[in-house]
Amino acid sequence: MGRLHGEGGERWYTSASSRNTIELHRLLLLIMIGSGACWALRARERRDWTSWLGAQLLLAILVQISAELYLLGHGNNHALFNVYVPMEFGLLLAMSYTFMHSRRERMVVLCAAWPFALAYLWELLHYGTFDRFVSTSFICGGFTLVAIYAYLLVRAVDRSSRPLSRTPVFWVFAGMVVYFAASAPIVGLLHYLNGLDKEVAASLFVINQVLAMVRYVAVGTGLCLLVNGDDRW
Amino acid sequence: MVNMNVVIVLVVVTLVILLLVGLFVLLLVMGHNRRNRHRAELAEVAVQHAEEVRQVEQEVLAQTMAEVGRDLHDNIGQLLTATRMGLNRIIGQREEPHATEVKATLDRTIAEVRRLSRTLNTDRWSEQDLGQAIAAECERVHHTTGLPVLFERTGVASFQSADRKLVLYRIFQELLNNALKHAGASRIDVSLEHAPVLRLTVSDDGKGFTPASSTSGQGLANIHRRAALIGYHCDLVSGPGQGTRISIHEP
Repeated sequence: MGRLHGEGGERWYTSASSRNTIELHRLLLLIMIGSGACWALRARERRDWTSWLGAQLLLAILVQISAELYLLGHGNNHALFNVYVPMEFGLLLAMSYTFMHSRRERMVVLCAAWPFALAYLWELLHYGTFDRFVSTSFICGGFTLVAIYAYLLVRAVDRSSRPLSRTPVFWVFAGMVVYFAASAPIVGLLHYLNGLDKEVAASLFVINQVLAMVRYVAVGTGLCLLVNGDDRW
Repeated sequence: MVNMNVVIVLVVVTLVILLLVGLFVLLLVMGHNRRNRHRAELAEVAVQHAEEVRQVEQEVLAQTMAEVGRDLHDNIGQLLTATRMGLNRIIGQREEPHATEVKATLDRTIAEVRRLSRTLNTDRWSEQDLGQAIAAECERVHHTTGLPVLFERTGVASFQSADRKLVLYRIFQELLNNALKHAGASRIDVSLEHAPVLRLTVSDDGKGFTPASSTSGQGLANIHRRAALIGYHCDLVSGPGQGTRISIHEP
């Protein structure tokens, strides 16, 4: 029985659900690559925030491919995601930092890194292993990112003078808020569910995969909308 | 086996969170759309207000000019006519070269005052044809200065309000005056096209200027302001040694 982490979390599957799960995993990878292609196509429209987003996309694609390889080797890829989660959090936090203009906002963003860092350290020390997925840290970081990106989303909506459907940052921020807010319960109860029934846990983790797809489609849409140096709010 | 209640709760909680996030985003979008509509309404009101202000300005301008025109005709014109009659009585039938010159100058002054009072009178513009007025002015300038001022008219005149014709005529006068005063031109061309849109163009073969230069700013701004009064646009093509071409046209 293989054991696999998907992007931004993990999934377990048995022979019964493995085929669908692998297909979803590959579809997510394709969507991520599509978003990465959007980013590359808009290379001339680069901003501070797109550099951070590009780095996060590249990292996510590499991790997703590595997770696929782990799947083939039937290995436990928790360690891979335990490295990815803080990096993703850091990159997304850095991206949000580029939108903060006042000293107070920047201080808040810098302070927001601490709960995640403490939760991450506590989890590693408490369980004493790197092979157990850091779900508490993921939730902690997720809620931090939801708060920050919800703030940015409200600000973007408030300042944008054109239709939101043509505002790049609206799509990016909305994608982040939807994904990190809705994936928390699944990822939070992952260990509990896995302990009870691995197959049901894997089935439920499909929700996380779908949310990740929504996120990367939104991010890709936002990047595609970056045209002619125009990313006014 | 996993407790099905836990699974159901988990799915429901996720759906509720998704719903709440979706509602949050939806409310933001709706608020944004409402605000944008409000902004558009405000912009529309501002445009209407500006249009009303322009109309009032135009009416005040027309009334003032009509008043000045009437005063010129009724007061100064009468005084000049009385002066001419008095002069005739004093001189009588004597043939004095100086007296003849003074009479001729006085006649020209009376004619100028009449012409000026006519152009200032907006009531007359409701009947007067813009092309004919421009042609007459070109002819007058040609006779006065000796400079070729060629007028060309194309198309059939459509209805223009008296105010609009007056503003266009004033712009034309200012353009002509600028060409005479500053361009050092050997020829001035004036054209009035009626189709597809009304377009009045004044061009000269003078020394030209750099449109962005500060010295050209005031006169051009005045022309732009006058054109904007009737909702017209102003195009300028000029350069040092290349003459000047200015078009006033409907949008």
